[in-house]
Amino acid sequence: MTQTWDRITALFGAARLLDTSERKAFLDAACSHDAALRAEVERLLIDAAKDDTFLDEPIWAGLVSALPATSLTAGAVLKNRYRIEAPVASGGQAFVYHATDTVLSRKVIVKVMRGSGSQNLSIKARFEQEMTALSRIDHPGVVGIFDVGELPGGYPFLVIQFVNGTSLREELQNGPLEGHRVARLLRHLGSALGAAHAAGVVHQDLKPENIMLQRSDDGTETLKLIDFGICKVERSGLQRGVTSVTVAGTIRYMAPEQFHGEHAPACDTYALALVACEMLCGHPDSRALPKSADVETRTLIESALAFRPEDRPVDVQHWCEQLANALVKEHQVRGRALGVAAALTVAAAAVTLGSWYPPRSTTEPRRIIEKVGAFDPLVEGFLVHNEITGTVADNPQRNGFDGWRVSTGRQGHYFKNLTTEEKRRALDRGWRLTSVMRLEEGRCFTVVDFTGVGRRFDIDVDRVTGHDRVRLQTQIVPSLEGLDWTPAATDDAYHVYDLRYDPAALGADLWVDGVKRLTGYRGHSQFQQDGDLLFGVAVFEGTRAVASFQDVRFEINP
Amino acid sequence: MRRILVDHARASQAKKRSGDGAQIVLDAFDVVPDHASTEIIELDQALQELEQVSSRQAKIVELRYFGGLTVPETAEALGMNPRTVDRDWAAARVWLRRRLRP
Repeated sequence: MTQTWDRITALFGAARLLDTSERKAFLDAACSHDAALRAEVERLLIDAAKDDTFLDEPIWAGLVSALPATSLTAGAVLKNRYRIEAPVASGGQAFVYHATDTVLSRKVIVKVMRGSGSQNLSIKARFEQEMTALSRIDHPGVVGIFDVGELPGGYPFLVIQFVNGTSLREELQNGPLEGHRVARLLRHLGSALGAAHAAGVVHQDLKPENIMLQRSDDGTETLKLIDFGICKVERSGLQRGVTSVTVAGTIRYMAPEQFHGEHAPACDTYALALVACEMLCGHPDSRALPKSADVETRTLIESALAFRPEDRPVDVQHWCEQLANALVKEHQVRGRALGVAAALTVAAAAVTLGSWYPPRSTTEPRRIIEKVGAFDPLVEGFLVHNEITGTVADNPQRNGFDGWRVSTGRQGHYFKNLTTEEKRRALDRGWRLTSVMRLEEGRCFTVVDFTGVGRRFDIDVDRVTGHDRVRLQTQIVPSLEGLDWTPAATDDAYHVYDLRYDPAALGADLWVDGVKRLTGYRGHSQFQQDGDLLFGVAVFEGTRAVASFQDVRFEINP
Repeated sequence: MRRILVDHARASQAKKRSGDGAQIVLDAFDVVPDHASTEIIELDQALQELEQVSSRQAKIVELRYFGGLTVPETAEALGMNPRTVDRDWAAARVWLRRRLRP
């Protein structure tokens, strides 16, 4: 069945690009001996061509349109003062319009909440929060609020300062920004966010789209944070008696705890660190920072991306200053080095200076190939093999979730492929496979499989009648039984399993919680499963396997 | 996100059945009409079946529909060619539509 549907899909994919006559000829040739297959492909072509909105919009689009809504037409005047000009956008909770303040003859933004306050107290409360939040902050880097009101039917609206400029997102279309400029922007961002946090306001949806860049007449660049649309105001005591979890924001920049509805200032620090990465290298991902990035820069960025909010820097403004200083210093050092290079070879220096912080070259393998954290492995680009379910795992302190809890009734894993180049480099230079995992039942494992090179390295942790056993592969051929180690006591805490491969010794050593436990593991050549890098769970003398993975990481030595 | 929504849909249905007092509200979604919860759960079940047929297509639906990713973003996330993603997406939609709206 699987193969049939894949085949139907493949033929469908080729046929849909052809016109009617070509399509017929193509199907004649491709399905010459299989009328049933042809019928299925044709049926798929017909069904796919049907005009249908099924799944057309992401799920939340449907949810939003289910909200009671209102909209204004151009020319409408609110409060005898604000004339609606044109719609700007409609976000999750609001319609946004360009408008003119006819009293002061200036452009403003009018934001009408989708929900009527009289129908939905939560929307009204949220609107009032935003209003209170914005009016509490008085900072040139934060968009100002001018007025509030309510449309007939109870739809509240805000009148907000019109910010002329380009968004950081538009600016980034032209590639990463120069280091000095990133430093300047970071100082502005730190100051604006610092003011918001001091006023008890967390932005919660920081991203390049919400950072507007402005250039004044003398050429200096400033910025404004906009769209505090999902702001949560601390101490506002919203909705007493109901445990309310607001999941909103842009997934890419969301801190892990935001998925659980926690919105402390630390989530802005997290988002800001990703924005800083994006300004520097074009990707909101610290792994994309070039190898040449300064250690201090990298350390600062990684500290702000700590999984637990309490591990991130407390003062976002101070952090921005530190990062800005590090970037300026780095640029100066690099500038001097380049000056020497320029004197030696003009052409080479010109190339280097042209892109001081180039986006990562696609031919250079990433040092860290994968990290899971408590994020959904699927989001990290893993695929699933067999039946497996994943949920986030709470940590014992109950102050958030800190692992990805995987369970199965048989065997299942997440997997990902490595490129041939990555495999070759890994075996040439050495590598390290680190897993932070917690076994509850059955077996959990992490594996790196160099298919084609003929070797595979497994870390298996088994729980049998209350005993843990850690094995470096096994299976099928009894004489190839691998190395194993039995911990003194069984517990269900997280442990760090760290397999390090030394190319000179052609073998790997296993470190558990920082102590070397097994040496000389040379891998094996049995089994090739889906993917080259995989982790998961399997039933072992039971009916169910459950384990949590906090981190799975594969690093190739530089 | 899929899990969050599906769990929420299940919870809201369970709440209706049991009428218990422990109320968990995802307030971004608290105005979801009743039938939407049922649809989310049915779609989740259908997706689990699609996973058996083509885990790749199920993954694409998850990223596109639950994650809101565009075709190029999905392609990047999965390390696939955008054209293949587009093809799989079209096929998966038909598969799910046949399953859910026969």
